[in-house]
This record gives sequence, C-alpha cells and structure tokens, in this order.
Amino acid sequence: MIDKQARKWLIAIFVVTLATRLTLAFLIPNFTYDSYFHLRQVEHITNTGLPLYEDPLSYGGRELVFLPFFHYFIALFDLFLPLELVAKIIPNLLIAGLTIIVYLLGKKITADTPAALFSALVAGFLPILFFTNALTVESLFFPLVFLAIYLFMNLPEKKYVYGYITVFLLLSLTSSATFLLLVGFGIYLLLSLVEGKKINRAELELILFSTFFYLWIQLIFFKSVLLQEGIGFIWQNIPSAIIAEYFPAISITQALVLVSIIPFVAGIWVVYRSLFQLKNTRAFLLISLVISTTILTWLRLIQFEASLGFVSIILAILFASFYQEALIFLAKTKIAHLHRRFSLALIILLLPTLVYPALAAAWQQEVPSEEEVIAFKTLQVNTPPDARVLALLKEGHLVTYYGQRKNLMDGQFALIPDIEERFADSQLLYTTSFQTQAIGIMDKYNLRYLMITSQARKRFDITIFKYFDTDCFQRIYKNETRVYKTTCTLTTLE
Amino acid sequence: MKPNDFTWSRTLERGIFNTDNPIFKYIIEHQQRYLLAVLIVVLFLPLLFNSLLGKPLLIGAESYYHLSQAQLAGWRNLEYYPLSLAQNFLPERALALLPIALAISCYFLWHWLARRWEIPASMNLFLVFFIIISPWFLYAFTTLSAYGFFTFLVLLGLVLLYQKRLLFRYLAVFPLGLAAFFDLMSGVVVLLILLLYWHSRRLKKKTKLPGVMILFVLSLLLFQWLVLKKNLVLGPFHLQSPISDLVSDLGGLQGVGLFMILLAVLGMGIIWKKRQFLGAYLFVPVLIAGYLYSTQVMFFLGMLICFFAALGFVALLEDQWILQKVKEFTCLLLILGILFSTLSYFNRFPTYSPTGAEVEVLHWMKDNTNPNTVIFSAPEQGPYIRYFAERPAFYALREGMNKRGEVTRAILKANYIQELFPLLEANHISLLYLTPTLKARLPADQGLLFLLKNERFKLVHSHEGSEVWVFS
Repeated sequence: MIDKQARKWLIAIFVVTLATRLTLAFLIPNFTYDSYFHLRQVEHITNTGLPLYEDPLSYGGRELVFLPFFHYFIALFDLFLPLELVAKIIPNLLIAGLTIIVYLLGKKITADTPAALFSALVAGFLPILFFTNALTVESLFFPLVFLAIYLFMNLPEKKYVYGYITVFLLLSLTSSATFLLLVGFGIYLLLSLVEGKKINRAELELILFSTFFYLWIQLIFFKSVLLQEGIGFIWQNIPSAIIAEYFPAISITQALVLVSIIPFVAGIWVVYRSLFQLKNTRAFLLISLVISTTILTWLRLIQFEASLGFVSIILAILFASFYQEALIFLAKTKIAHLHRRFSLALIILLLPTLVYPALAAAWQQEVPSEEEVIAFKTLQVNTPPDARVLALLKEGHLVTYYGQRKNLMDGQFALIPDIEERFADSQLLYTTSFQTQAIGIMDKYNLRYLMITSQARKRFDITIFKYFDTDCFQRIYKNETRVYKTTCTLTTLE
Repeated sequence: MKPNDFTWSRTLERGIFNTDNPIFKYIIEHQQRYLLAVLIVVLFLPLLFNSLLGKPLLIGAESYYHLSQAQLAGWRNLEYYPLSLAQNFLPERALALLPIALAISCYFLWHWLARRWEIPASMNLFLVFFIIISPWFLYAFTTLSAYGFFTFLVLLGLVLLYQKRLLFRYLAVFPLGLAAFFDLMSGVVVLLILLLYWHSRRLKKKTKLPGVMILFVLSLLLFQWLVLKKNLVLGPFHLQSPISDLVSDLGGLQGVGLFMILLAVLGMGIIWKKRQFLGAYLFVPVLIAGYLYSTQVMFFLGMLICFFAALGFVALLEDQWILQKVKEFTCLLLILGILFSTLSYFNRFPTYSPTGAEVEVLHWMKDNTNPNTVIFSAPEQGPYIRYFAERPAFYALREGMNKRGEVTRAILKANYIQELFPLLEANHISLLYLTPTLKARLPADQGLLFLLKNERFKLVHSHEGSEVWVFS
C-alpha cells in the first residue's frame, strides 16, 4: 500500500510526466515513421476484427508475421475515439504509467519512499523513452515487462502468482523481446547457484512455465519465419547494408545521452557494488537483468535501442538504491547536517541532465512534415489503385498508410526472399545516373511512380533523380515533395 | 473405470497428468493399444497425403538409393537380396508398406522388452509416444531407411538375448551382427548396447556370451573399416545443415521439436542428479560427435533425445510443485509444443521429393534419352535419377566431395559462359535436369539460370516447374 503523502507525490510525478509528453505529442505533428505500420494494423482490426497478415500493399503484396496484442489493445480504444488521437494519448499514458511501476519496484528494493519517488521521477524523463509521437509496441511492452518483474518479486503470494501469469501471457503476445526477461531469469538462476543463494521454488516453477509458454507462442506465430530464415530470424532479415543501424556495437556515448548521465552512472555504480554482495541484495533479479541484457547486446542478438530502453528503466529503479546509499554515506560524513538539502540538490542536478535531454530527444524525433503527409495523401488521387511507388525505406509505411498504394520496401523485412537485392536496387534508384539502369530496375518491380522528399534529398545529396528527363518522366505532383510518373520501359515505349 | 470416479470437474481438479485421474490411469493401463493406434495413424497419414497429391508413396532419396541397389543385387551387395526379392514379388506401391511393417514389428518387440526390463508404465507411455511422433522417426519409417531396419534387428537381437534358452541367446548374434553391418556408426551403437548388456549381466550371472558378442561385433567393425573401407555413416542423402536437421521446427528433413530438446536437457540434468540411467550418457559424446560428422546420425541422436525427454517429463510429472496448477499448465504446454512440431512436420510433408511432377519428368527422360546419357542435376537428385530415369547421375551426394562434386559446384556457381561451357564439354554433360528446389536456390537473373538463355541450351521438356535442358 502506498501511503498518502507518497501517493500525492507519485500522482504529481505521473501527471507532470503525462502532461509533458502529451504537450509534446500534440505540438509535434504526425508520428514517427515506424508508427504508420501499427496505425494501419489497428485500423484494419477496427474495420475487420483481424490483423492484416496478408498485406496487398507492403512490398507489393506479402505475408506479415507479428504478435497482435498491442494492436488489439489500441484498437479497443479506437472503437470510441479517433485513431490518431488514441495513437497520441495511449502510448504516452502507458509510458507515464511506468513511473508508478518503477516507484513500486524502487520501494520493493529499498523500502524507502523518497528513494522510490526519485526513481519514478527519473523513469518519467528518460530520454530513450521520450519518443512522444511513436506508436510502437515498446510503449506497451515496457510497462508490462516491469509489471511482470514487480509481480515476480512478490512471489509466492497467490494473487501475485495469478497476476504474473496473466501479465506474462499478455507480454508473450505483445513482443518477442520478452525473451530479455527470460534470459534475465536464466542469469538470475545461474548467479543464485554460483552465490549459493537458495532459489525460491515458486520462482523456479514460474520461470519454467514462462520459458515454455513463450517458446510455444513464438513457434505458433513465427513458424513460417523460422522455416524460411532458420536461426537467422534473430536478425529479422534486415539487409546487411543497414543491419549495423539496428545492431550496432555498444556505444557508451550514445548510452550516456539516451539514458542521461546521472541515472546511468548511478545505476552502473549500484550494479558494480552489488556484484560483490549479490546474495544479500534485494536488487539481485534486476542486476541479473542488466547483466543478461548487456551480454545480449554485446553479442548483437538484440536491437540496441530496445536493450537500451530496458536497461535504462532498470537503472532508473536502481537509482533508488543509489539515493538510499548516498544518504547513508552522507550521514557518516562531516556534512551530515546537509542531508536535508541533498534531495533538493539532486532535483536541481537532475533537471538539466535529465529533463533537457528528454525534451531534446522528443523534438529530434524523425517525423514526416505536414507537407510530406499531404504529398503522400495525394497519391490516392494522382495514381491508379494498383500503382507501385518508390519512396525511402522509412517512408514505405507512409505510402501504404496515407497513399493506400504499394511500396517497394518498408521496415518489415521478415519473409521477404530477395531483401538484399531489393534494398540494393532501391538505393540505386536514388543514386544512379544511368536512365537505362533505373528503368530496368523499375520494370523489374513494376514501379511506375517515384517520390522524392526533402528527407530523400538530404539522404542522397540530390535535388532530383540524376537520370531524370522529360522524355521518360512526367511530374504529377510538385511542392517540396515531388512525385514523378515514368512513361518509359525497356521493352515498350508508351 | 468406476462411474462414480468420473466427473469432468473432479477429473480436472485432480490434474490431467495425475495417476489419480481415471482417464490418465486408463490410458496408462491400456497404453499398448492406444500407442499402436497412434503409430498406425502417423505412419499411414504420409501415405495418404502422397496418394492424394499424386506422388510416389515412398519419399526420400535414401529409399530410391536402396531400391536402385536392390535392382543390382548380387554377390557384392548381398544385404540387398531381401529387398530385391520384395521388389520382384510386390508391386511398387506396396513397397511403401515395408517400413510401416518394420515399425509395427519394432513396436511389439519394444513392448516385450519393456515388460522384461520392468520399465515403469508412465515412463514407457511417454517414451514411446515421444518417439513415434518425432519427425526423425516418422521420416525413418515412411522411407526405406537402413536405420529403420537396423532398429528392427537390434530389438530382435535384444529380445533373443533376454530369452531363457541359451540357444536363442546365441542366435542373437545374427541380427546384431547384421545390424552392425550397415556402416561403422551402426556398429559402434551395437557395441555400446552390448557393453551395457554385459555390464548389466556381469553382476547377475557369469556368462561368456556378452564378451563373445562384443568381440564378434568389434571384429565386424574392424573388418568393415579396414577391409571393406566402409564409410562412418551411410549417405548423405540430403543437403545437410546441423541446426535445422536437429531442430525440425527450423525446417529440417528429420530432427526433433524444440520442446523435445528442452525436455531432454531437463531430463539429463535430473537423472544426473539422481545418478540413474548413467549408461545412457555413454552414447552422448559418441552420437554428438557422429552428428557433427554427418546429420544422418540424427536417427540415433533422436532416439537418445526422446529417451532423456521422456525421463525429464516423467520427473516433472512426479515432482511436487508448490504451484500445482502451474505444473499442470507447464506439462500441457510441453505436450502441445511437441505435438505442434509434429503437425508442422506433416505440413511440410507434401513438399518432400520426389513430387509427382519430378517423377513425370524423370520418366520422360527414361523414355526419350539414350540409356548412357549422364544427367546433370542437384546432388541430392542422384538416387531419383538412377531409379526413375534409369540413367546415371553426374554426381550424387553420397559420393562425398570428389572431382565431380567440385565440378557440380562450379557449374552451379558459374556466372559466364566462358566458365560454364568448358565444364560441360569437358565432362560430356549434355542433359541438365532442374527441379523447382534447385531453381529456388540459384539466383534468378545471373548464373546458371541466366546462362540457360544462351542458344546452345534448349528446353526440351518441362512439367510444373521441373525442366530438362539439352546442351549442344
């Protein structure tokens, strides 16, 4: 039970976090590029009751495989509210709700209310989570996974057992990244054996159940991916030219920026100290999760952003331990009388190092401009229904969502057989100077429409396609973004 | 089962896998008939699929390799004489019943041994169930597999070894000796089994029989290795991939399900702690090493995995959990996971060679080409070319990496006619047979598929994606 005073502060933190997030979400137009895939899925569920597993537009027509719970969850709200409003409110509400879960976890490991409140404050403004315009699975995954961890830490009380099972079931249907939790459990058991710590029998039983349930769900949903890609399914069929963007080497600099310096340093310090007295620490499970996630990231078995988000929340929770230990340390020093000012000093320190980077991260989100959105919407009017449109990889979902047209490529790579070739061809279309080569590629994919946005211009340092001429290309839309129709083929001339 | 014992709610309360549960208890008591029913269903289902799809009833390159060898049975390959007789007296479609007959015979032989060894009923139920729904078992006993016959001979030998009369025990040397003769690995496995038998007998009764048998099998092994120069493992008959051949969920031809492997790991840990069935650990390093050499060893490894998995599952069932309901769900999940792997395997079954289209094209080659024409194709097609088209294949997988293997690889990787034509001419290749599987492996707009557009190649026959090209 949360005491009255703590509840007030917690609600304040939640409200401030939510208010900040929603303000930014509505100030910044549109959504991040990846969000449009999820928007389309939610829309389809609202209209038909089923996810869009056979997509006629993505890659010109393909099979999709993904876990659908997140989309059903959002679709539930879409029944009552407009989708784009739901897409801005619900993810921000979920991430703001993380502050409450982090508070509970911080309280669990320290039994110290102020320390837990500080954890909640830190979690509320983590830069890595401050993507306010992102409708992504992580917005549900992170709250669920930490709720599962909290329930797990309260075993074997019956209500927590059933709570954990329910939450874990939902987690398994939300994201494959749930395996982070399972690997963490594995490291937890291993460290328990090494440290001679007695393993709680109920925990072991639930870990076993969780492992088997997770694997079963993954096998059911991703059977076709496993058959086609084998063990390579871990890397999601991402083209080799860009895989380093998804699975980069660990960068401490990037981690410091995205987690924020004080929580990062404090959390790592707590982990380091705790390693020497693991058996006695209540944060044992959390530390195991940090270790497992670090190992998986180092081995490039998990996307860096996902792992960093996960670790940053754990470091935020461990900040409670840091706070508590710092106060104990302070009490032993000659400046012990200043301990009351310590909290204030910490808040003052956190504001610029946490809040400012969080706001900056929000402002720097990659979202399409209003002009680009209009350009994509006009595809519906300016092109026939079966048209295939070239756009940047990240703009692929805009072609399908706003334009309702087929794209050449987008960020859903699984089960696409010729992904390397397709990616290379899509890049060539922006960089080649040879018209014959470009038209040959367009013929190969039956591409008749080309879009060039300001993003594309910046990316490839071009103002227009190098092979453009008026004989073969007709402009059908002109603004900052331009849309061209090709009238030539290598086989026949129109 | 007494009527008063049974209500659904009480049954579920007791837990599905609880021996107090009357349904579960009934299944355990009458497991022989139920398991036999499952065995017959899972073995006949592939035949039904193949029949409905217009495919030959027998699948697998190994089946057609053995059938081709049986057609040439003589004093050099006497071991094919029984199959040769079967070929002569039975219609071709009836040959598909041979592996099923073997499987059913193995089933009854095993049950005799299980009673003799006093294997606990629940252990036997899950062991046999796991084995008969495993893809490696299904593949071995729906094809003409040497290891399928090996299993029958070993079980027969063990049944004879455990007879009371000494004469029957000495007769065991025949089936066990034959079983050791397939390849070196089968000999090693028989040797290990005899070592365990010897270990189990030495404390009970002083007898020379185990020692004699071990020496006999050892000398057979040495004879095969030094004189006959047999391979360690028969085959290979398919393109091997260690991971997907082990985990059937990753698309392998055989293998076991992922859950089976997890259960086996659990089982190994549990029985190591309890210091039980330590003899089984003898097989672990041998079979793993054998598997890394050739995934054909999956047959033996699969058996071992199922054994440990059954032990693990029974240990899970018998263990008292704090969260009993979680235990029930976990056991149910495991069974569902294992069944899912089997269903996935059946789902892929219709795609396994030879397909009806491939057979049609192979028969066309038989009817329309010179008997001495050498046919170039994917290495795994060798046995089908030999059997259906009655023509020599340029290269077959089981030859190992020899000069022809290198030439085959070079032809499939050639990007220019300057690379390709000299290879075809030097090796007198005039006929190329391309299956849909081979074409899917090759790049569409470069390499061999692109070079086929050259005027020196002519498409002479095609049927549902299988093509025959003449090179002149």
